[in-house]
Amino acid sequence: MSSLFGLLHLGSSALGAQNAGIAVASNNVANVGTEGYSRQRIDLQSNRASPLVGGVRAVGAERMSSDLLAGRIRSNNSSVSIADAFAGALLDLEAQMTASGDLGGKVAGFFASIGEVSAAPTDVNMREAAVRAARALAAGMQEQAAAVADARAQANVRIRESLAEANQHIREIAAANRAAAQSDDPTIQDRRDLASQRLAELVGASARVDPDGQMRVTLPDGAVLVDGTRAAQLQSTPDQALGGMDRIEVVDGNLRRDVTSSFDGGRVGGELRMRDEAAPAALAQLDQLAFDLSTRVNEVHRQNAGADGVTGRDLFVQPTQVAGAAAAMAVDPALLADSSRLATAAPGAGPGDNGGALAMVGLADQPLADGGRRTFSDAGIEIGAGIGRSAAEAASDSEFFSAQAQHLAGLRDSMSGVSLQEEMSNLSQFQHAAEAQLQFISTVDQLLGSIIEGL
Amino acid sequence: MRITESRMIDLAGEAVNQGRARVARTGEQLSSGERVSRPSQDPAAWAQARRAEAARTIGAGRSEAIARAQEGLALADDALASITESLSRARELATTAATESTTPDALQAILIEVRGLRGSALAAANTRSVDGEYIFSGSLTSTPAFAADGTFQGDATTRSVEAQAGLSQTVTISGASLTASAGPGAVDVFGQLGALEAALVAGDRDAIAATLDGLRAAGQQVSAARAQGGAHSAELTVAEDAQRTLDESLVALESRLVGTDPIAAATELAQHSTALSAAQTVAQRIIELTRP
Repeated sequence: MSSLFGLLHLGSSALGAQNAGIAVASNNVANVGTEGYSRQRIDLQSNRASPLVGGVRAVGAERMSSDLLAGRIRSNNSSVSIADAFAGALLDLEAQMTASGDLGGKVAGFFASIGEVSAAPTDVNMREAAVRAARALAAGMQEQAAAVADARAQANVRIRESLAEANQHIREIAAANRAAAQSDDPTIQDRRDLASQRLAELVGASARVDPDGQMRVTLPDGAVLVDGTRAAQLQSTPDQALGGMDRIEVVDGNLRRDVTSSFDGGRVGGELRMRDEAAPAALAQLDQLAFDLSTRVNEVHRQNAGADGVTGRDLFVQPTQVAGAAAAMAVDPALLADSSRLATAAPGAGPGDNGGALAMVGLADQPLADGGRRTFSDAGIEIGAGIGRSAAEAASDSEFFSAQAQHLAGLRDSMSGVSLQEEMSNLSQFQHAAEAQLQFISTVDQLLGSIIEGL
Repeated sequence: MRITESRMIDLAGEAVNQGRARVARTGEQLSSGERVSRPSQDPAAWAQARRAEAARTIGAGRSEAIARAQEGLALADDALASITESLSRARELATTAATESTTPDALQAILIEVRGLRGSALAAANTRSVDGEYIFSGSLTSTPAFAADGTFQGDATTRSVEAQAGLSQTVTISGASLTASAGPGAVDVFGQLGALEAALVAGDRDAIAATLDGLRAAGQQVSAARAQGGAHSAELTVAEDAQRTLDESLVALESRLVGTDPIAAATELAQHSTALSAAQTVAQRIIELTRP
């Protein structure tokens, strides 16, 4: 039979257990708005009967979370971020390129003005208008090349910013690992999970919690960012081999590892895709178009004569190579200064002949660009359309992964989110239970008192 | 599945945000009149619209060239008409001068008039365009087509313009068509007038009579050149009409591809606005329900 003192002890431990339940429910309510917080549930266990009844004890607060779900969320957030970053960068570039007018229109404008000159080749105003149209085309090409170069540079800056932020989260995870080794406070794991999510959003890193409770974080190629309490750093360094853009390395003590091509997720992955794939591809297209256009027009121009009967002159400054042709495209300075050098006449003919102009106009409708598949105007349009297509695809990817993120957020909220109504209900339950225990303790106390008085 | 209050509020907020985005997007389309203003909104439609616009730009250049050429042909037609009149009058005068009854004084008066006709024909043959080109000089447009003695100083080059893609049309008449090198049976128009003048100076009625056939041939030659110019002009008119039709269809295509249908857009805006109001109402109710 349990003694009265045993019953007092039972009531006291039960009161403690109910008070722990109240504390956990209150803690949940207090953290309802805390980002990354996983609700806790009091783990009550019955004590072994000694000899009849044992009571209840609070074993601990169970953190309601799932490492598997956390891993899926990290992976999906990485995908959202890479698509978002890539789409955002492409849309910025698209806005810049379309703000200066589409290149196809400028090419068409150039050939249209040459067509007008063909009807009045000795009209100075017409010749100067044609030279202006050529200059507008060259300027348009330079502007587009500058927009792409600027987009690359901006992407590079954003990469640096993301890496700085990522390093912060790397340090946070290592610190959380250190704290987790010394304490089983569930909020440490919450903070660590949140930091790992942010890291996944930034650099596409994946994480796992080892049986020893330590989180290990790696990049897709296996480069270790966090291993227990050891934290590496992500460092960016300008690299001439990358055209002055940053090389990214994982630095751990004396060990350095180039991971520039290892990012297939996260914001940095999206910016790298822009910096090292989309932007160079667009620039290569611009350069090829500028080179082909300048070369073909110059070929015709050289064969024909200006108003002074002289042949062999260029209309555009002849590029020596494809790379950089767009940024360097310009009308021949001598022609800019003197429109009579515009080769509108056939060789040997008088100044009123327009054979040269007609020959240049004839280039407009021929498939001389893009490897002989498109006209120059179409090729210019295709560059803009290509950027738009990539941006639309990336935006579509972002929408898809964002929808998945919503779904996963719902799952996480279902498991780990704090429901105020639920917690208020728990609070009320534990409160009533505590009141009942107090009543029980009071009753036992009265019994004891009666017995003592009776002695 | 547990649904927490914060989740409900998040979902309601997301619905309101999406509703606002749809209303904003439709409103922008309605106010700008453009359904597609950037490539990413509809890459294929944007590219097609830009190609249509580029084709219109090049077409506008052709139209301008055609218009300029028509001006030149009109000038040429006026000039050739004037030369025809001069030749016709000269032939009348030659017919009169060739008769025995014409007095020496009358011959002198005819001579003066023939010189005047020759001068005005020469001036007409040396007509210049608005930008100073001698329109009958071929490619040597800074040189008068005919010297004072009637010698042709230009070349036989004619100018063409691209009236349609890949199709050029001749738009000038060379003064060479007024010379003996114009073709079989051709005569030198000013040579004929010069011969009449010389015969009048000599008072040689037989020589005067001998110029009648030449003057008729010259008149026919000039008329033929004028007809040729008319044919060029007619061809250009056909080309311009075709260009105008093409331009109209390109404008319609562009509008169809990237333009906003105002009625459809207004309907869509009303729908999205209604949905937004509903989402806002739902969000408000959820906030009230989730209040502790």
